[in-house]
Amino acid sequence: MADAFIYDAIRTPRGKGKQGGSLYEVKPIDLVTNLLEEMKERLNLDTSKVEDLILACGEPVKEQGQNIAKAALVYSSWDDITTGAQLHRFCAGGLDAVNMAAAKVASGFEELVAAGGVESMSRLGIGASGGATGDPWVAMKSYFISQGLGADMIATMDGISREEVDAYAARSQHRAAQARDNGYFKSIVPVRDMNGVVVLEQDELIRAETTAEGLAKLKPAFQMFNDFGHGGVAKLKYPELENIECVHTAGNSSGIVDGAGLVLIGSEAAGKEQGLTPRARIVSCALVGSEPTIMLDGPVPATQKALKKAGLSVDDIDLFELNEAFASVVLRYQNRLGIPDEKINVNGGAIAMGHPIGATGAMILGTLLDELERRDLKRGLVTLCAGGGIGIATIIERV
Amino acid sequence: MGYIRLEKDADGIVELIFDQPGKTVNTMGLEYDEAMRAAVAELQGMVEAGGVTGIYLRSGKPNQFFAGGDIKEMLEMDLNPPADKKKEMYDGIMATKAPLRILETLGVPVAVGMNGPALGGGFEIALACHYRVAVKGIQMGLPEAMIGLMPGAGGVVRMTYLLGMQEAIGLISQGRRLKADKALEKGLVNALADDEADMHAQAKAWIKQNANTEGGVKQPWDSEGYNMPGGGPEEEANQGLTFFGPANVMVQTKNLMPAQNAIFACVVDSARVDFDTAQKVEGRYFLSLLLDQTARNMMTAFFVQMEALNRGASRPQGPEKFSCQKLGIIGAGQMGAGIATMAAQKGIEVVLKDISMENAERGKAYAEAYFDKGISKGKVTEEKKAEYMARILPSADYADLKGCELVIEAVFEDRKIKAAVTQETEAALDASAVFASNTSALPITELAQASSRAENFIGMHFFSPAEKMPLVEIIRGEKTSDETLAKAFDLAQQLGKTPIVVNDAPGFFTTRVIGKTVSQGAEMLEEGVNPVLIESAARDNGSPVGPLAAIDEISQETAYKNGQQAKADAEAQGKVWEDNAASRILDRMVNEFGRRGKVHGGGYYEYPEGGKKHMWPGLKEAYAPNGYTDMPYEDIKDRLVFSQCLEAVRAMEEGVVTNVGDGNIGSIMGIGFPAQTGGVFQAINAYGLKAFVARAKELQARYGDVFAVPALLEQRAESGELFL
Repeated sequence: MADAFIYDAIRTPRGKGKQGGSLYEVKPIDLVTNLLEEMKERLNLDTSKVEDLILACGEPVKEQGQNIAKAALVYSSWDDITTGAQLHRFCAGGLDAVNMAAAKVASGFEELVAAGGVESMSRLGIGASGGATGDPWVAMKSYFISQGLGADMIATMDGISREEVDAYAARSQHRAAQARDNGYFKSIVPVRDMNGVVVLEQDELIRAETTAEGLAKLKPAFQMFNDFGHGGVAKLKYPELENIECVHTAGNSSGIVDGAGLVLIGSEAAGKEQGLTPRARIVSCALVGSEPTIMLDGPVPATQKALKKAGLSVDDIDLFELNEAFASVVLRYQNRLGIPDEKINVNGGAIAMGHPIGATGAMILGTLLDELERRDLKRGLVTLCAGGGIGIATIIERV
Repeated sequence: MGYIRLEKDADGIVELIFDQPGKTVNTMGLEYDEAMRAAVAELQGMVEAGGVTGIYLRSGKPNQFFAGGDIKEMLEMDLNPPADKKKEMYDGIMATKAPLRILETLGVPVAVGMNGPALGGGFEIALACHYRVAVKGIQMGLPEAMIGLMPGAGGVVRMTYLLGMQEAIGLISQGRRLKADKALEKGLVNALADDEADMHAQAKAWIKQNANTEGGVKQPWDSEGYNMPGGGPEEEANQGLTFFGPANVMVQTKNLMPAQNAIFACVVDSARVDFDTAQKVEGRYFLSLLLDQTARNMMTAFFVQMEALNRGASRPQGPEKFSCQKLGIIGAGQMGAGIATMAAQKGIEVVLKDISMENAERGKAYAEAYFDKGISKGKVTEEKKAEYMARILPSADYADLKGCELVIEAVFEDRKIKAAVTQETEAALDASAVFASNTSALPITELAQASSRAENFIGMHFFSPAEKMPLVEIIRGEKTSDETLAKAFDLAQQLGKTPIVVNDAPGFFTTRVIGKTVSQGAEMLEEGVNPVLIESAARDNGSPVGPLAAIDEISQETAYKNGQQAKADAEAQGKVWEDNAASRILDRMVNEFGRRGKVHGGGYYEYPEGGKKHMWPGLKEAYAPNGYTDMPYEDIKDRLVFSQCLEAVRAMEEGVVTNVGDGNIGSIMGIGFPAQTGGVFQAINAYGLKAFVARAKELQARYGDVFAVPALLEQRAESGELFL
């Protein structure tokens, strides 16, 4: 198997995902083309050599619909020879696009592939594209419940308290603010309008002033789902569960934002041909299915699988980047794998900066790579939980 | 004579008259299928030939419209037929639907007259008519869900297209029966009639009025511009229904009732496609229930056996029907007062006697509170309440019992007290009066020794609260006469209860059966099993309440006292009393931990104010200080159920219960045995006799002889003779 290298990883800043958010006025396709043009320019890329663009999206409908990857290529200045495909793996999509690109390159089928994701949650909110699990018969057969309640189940089952999830969330905010203020997020590319005027330069959801005490005042976001029947369904599946403690709020769950991420993956030869310097190598990738009612339990087995494939252990990883879908997901992950606070989400995460569903995986890969470079560390692992019970993990290594 | 007659009147209206030969009610089975297909084909020809003003569907049976599907036919169908047979069954379902579709699209006006109950298949026929007239007071609806089925002749689709998803789901999945006036409000009926003649007149008048409608008469869903009431599944307003609805169905049914799942899904699926495609969808869901064990269980218990019970299968045939005019009740506690409340409401004069007037008045106040609640809910009027209350005479004097045809004693479970009450009561009664002891466990034959007329002595075990619980367990003592049994049976029915009849033995039937599951709960708790799992196992079995919560409700203190009473009773009889897990735990709960029950502030559960009840953490300290015992969840579940089934078979072996239906219905309605199993005997049939025996033996090896297989069950398993 050939090596697959990361030649670049860039992202837009994340705008608040609602009307009034800075990126609300920007069409999803423009989030993508901003990055396509930037990547072409900064790498002086001969785009005719890029064979494919795989873009993940969580709500691939309407202006994000059909195949937004190919639409964006056609609309951009990239060469028409580059083809594109849209990918859906819920929250894991952005990273899965990267992994698929790496698989193409590693297999030798293709040499240079772009990958990433896009999500304008302000324009197409969660659920905009419907979904098979919304069908009553399917929901009943699948023990479908609200995802956030799955996070509350994790907290209840692991004995994680409201104080702990709030403390974690406050730390995410502080870490993100510090990283932003010190310019650690090198991969951010400002979003510009058609005239080149900057629309948004930095992540705008971060609240540096957040305190655990302040967070404690927020109402549990998923209590209503619990009380309206989903809690009962969870108990039918988990008889040992007496009641679910609803600890997750808007303050300790991932934020709703707009944004896009783009990564360029290629073989050694393809990079040399264009005079590109590889920033890192993809060491291993893993996907697993996990118990679907809790749904958010995939990162642990995915991490274990990726480590096993790479012949590595937890201690061999310098930094972990686990998407902060909900605070309990990170706390369970740390507990189960014995990962100290200093090695995980060191520059904050989605609780502070937001989680643009399809884009996040590609975005946080860049965040991790930036930090490995800044600290001059070797190895990092990116992982996310995703809808339906999916875990994904990717190990990278600087070269 | 055939099932269906077609008669054309002078106005050109063709009457389609249902009159199934040899039956008192019309049913939808193979005979109907053939007749309806032929009749509708003939109608098609008549309409094409011209001269048909319209069609009027009605019943040829007085006060009976159409009862629904032929359940006996369904019960005979193979549960696991080969694929080609399933295809045949599906085609059969579609063939049943076809004539109704033809009828509603002929173009001529089609009216129906409902002169009596229009339920299930009968109401499905009515829904396929353009205009529905019902005689005031009749009942209609789609009650299939109550026996584990769903409508399969277009009823789900037509109800959905007529009323919208929300209303259709509610009415069908709860199997709601509506009185004609309610049905009119909902739009299920177009007009009410005073009597049959008025019904015919109204239906025919409507046909004549609409005979010349341009473009023909159409159903709403076949008319241009039709929109589903309330909108389709994609509509914003329906997101709550489709998102939370499935979870609510699962929680309400513990996901144990396939019919409710199928009905919900079928309604939504039907709303996504056109009317004719929806018929196919409905046919497939319906077939899935025809092939479903739960449906078989429920049809067996709630249709076949329940009907037999109501008809008096366990009542002696000889004695004439008895109607109680004056009833005596001794003991004005919750039980006595509850029975008095029911009796007064059913038009029976009641003498409510206690040792003091104050106590008796308190019992009457209980009835008053009940009726006041009814008033606040709009179910009772002030006039009615006054009428009911006037029928209850509180008393502290045995002499007031004079003239009572039947007296129910509901005093403390103490033989001496009961004996004294028996004698003093009998002294005030006529020789023909029946004396019924309301005991949950004391042997009737022994109690009857205090009576001077043991043949008039019987046990009537009401369940608490008597005004709500639907069952009465009638216990026949050794000397109880047929006349006495018949009177007790008829009184129970008069009170609106379902009576089962059992023979005398300690604990009779229901008490000894439920005792087993309560014991298993206690044993597992003592063995260190996580109490949350014990309670969840009961829930997942389909029990309305777990064995621990049940004791909390009764209160540990009461259960403890009952146990002490039983112990004293046994010792007084010179019997050896052995303690058991339940008695040991109750002793500690009451005397060591002061956890005396829900009404005393908490038992196995804690009841935080404004919060959800949860297991008292002290249980873990007391019974699993070093961690819970690991026990397979299936074992926990099966211990709670198998213990009851096996005890029921023992009771049958001993001749306590002789009729399977009494056992099934008694277990479900009296002691909360999981309804979807069809009862304590049907659960064995459903599991498979041989498999049940094998599993019981496994449980016996692990958890003791309470799971030993009675010889009767061994024999049945060998011969394959089901408990029917």
